[in-house]
Amino acid sequence: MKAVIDRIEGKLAVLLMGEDGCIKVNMPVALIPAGCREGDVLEVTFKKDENATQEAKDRSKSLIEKLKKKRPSGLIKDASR
Amino acid sequence: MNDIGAATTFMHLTNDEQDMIKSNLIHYLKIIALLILALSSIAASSENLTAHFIDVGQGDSELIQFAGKNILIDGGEQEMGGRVESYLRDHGVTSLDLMIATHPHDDHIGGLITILKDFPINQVLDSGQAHTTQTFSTYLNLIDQKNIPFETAQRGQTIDLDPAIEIEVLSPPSTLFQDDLNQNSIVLKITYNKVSFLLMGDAGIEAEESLLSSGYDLNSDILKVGHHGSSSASSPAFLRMVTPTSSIVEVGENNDYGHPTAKTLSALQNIGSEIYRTDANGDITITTDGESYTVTSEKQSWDTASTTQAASAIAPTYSTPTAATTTATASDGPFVGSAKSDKYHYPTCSAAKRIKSANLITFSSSEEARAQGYVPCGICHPP
Repeated sequence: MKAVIDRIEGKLAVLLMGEDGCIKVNMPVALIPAGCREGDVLEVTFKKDENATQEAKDRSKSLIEKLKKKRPSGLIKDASR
Repeated sequence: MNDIGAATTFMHLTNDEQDMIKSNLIHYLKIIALLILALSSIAASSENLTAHFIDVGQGDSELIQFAGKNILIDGGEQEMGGRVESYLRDHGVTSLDLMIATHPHDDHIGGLITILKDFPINQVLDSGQAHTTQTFSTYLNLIDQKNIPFETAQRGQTIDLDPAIEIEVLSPPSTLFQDDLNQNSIVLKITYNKVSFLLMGDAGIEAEESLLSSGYDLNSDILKVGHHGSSSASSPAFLRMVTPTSSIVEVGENNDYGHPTAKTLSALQNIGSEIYRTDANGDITITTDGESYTVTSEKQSWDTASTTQAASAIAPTYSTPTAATTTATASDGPFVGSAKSDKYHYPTCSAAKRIKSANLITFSSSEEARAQGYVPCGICHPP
């Protein structure tokens, strides 16, 4: 996908994206390649990373399980069936 | 040649004869001067020039109207095209004599796309700078398809809208600034008899320096502040030359870019300029007969409310030259000031509201404030 730097406003690069170049995105200058100027055309790629997604989900799940095993305060009662 | 001839003739006359001719000459000159004054006031009263600063959020758009003629300068972002179109229609515009794109950034030319599609346009004046966005190529293609005459701007050009109005292109200079679309913005000075406007587009300090050394008379009653009041424009040296009585900042409410900056606002206050902002005031209209001008705005802000001292009055009128003299009295307070500054304000002034409570000083009268070395605030103009 292409993005055009319409202008730089201080620390923000104003990118125009989308098929008709109408979607405005304020991008911190720190996140675009160094030396970019207004008028430059960028190739932007968003790619879903299946492995990283699964790994992050697994990390959170195992942390939740670890925390649940810690000593309870007694404030919260188990649901009565 | 005539001057030299007249001077030579004088040398052959006696002193008495010379005095008689001189006094006759002065008499005739006085009559001519009176005639010119009378004629110019007739001309001035016949038509009003109206400058509209259209609220397009974060972006610029200005409409100039005189004697049935219309100039549109910029059109805000693309999504503002409809807003600009309805504003034009509401103000009787069915065609444009001239469309000016100060520079190709999206917040200036975006809305022009709708206008190019929907209105007959007699002429386009462009900054002549190439840009790579689709908005810019759509703009150029529409001008091409519709065969609209296209010129690029250069310092020294004049725009011949009407013999009563002088419109000069002050910038960009013949050699463009390197790789900077803002600096090469089209800068215009519009003069109608005694009332003048300086419209800066997004021109910044580099362009201002070039203007300062260009020899142009920059002094203007109304300034459309450069680049939405950012710190990249409006240097103190430049503002001192312009000394606008009223300044207009075209800016979006809570915009992402921190416009206008406190630095620019205080620089404008320091030269005693009245500040109007499209984020606070909405659409701002200035109407002038060439002698004085009136500012009206869609919304009242505290900045302007306090200057008129009555919430019902939204149209302060200025006459030129502006009488800036105010008289301090012993019972007109209360006023407030900061221990960190030398300005005193109405308590309702936007600048007063920013004073930290630890620094806040109250004066019972303007006389008391002045006695302590405080001077009137440039935003709210207390007595």
